Amino acid sequence: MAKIHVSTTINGAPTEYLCDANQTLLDVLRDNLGLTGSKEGCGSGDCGACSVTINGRLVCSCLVLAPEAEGVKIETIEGMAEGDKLHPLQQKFVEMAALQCGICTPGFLVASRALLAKNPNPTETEVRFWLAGNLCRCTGYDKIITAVLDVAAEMRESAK
Amino acid sequence: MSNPQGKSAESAKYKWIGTRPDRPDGADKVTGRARFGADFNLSGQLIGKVLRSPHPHAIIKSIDTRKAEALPGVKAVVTAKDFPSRPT
Repeated sequence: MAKIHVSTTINGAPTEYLCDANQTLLDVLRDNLGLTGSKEGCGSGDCGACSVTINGRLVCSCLVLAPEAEGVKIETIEGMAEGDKLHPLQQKFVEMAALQCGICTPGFLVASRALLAKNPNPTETEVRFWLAGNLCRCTGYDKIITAVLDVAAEMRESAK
Repeated sequence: MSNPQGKSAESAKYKWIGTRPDRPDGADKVTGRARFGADFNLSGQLIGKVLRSPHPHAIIKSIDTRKAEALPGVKAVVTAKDFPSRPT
């Protein structure tokens, strides 16, 4: 089967790739482009480890077909820090030990950033609801939720 | 970055006890730089797949691997028979 040529933008960089019609965006990110920060936990949209945003919308990249990325803007975990400078969410996750093994962490961070972009002042319930699509099997959720709420408060403060 | 918050006079004698250091692998894990097993691709690397029984608590009488072995690209099909030293 002929490969499909896709032109897209990943973390601000214009990117082209050739993919099979049945390849997922996650496969292309990891296997074709070497962006292995997005993880495959389940491959069926349950765990959120592969979370990325497409034109600002949070999606599971394992449920997006690679050819669908034509002309869109994709943001992955690799685009979150600016050089050595961690995003406030990344910094807070480290400080508050909101991670252990680290497999779910990129997904949580991408999802949390998408939440704060949409809602800079979420309640705890809203954070828990938004992050319900991300599963963590070691740290537990409380530290993650607290970290997100703390960052939201700090970002609101610094935006004043 | 250690956080000496709440450090008692006793623990002040120590370099690490009573401090709250960031985990050393934290930055790699929050940036996606950390390399896990599945993140490696080496040249000539083979990919393994596990086929599990669709039947709970079934007794395996035999496994016919011929069709799997005939698939293009398949290098080997491994079953418990390949490990005679392990009780099945």
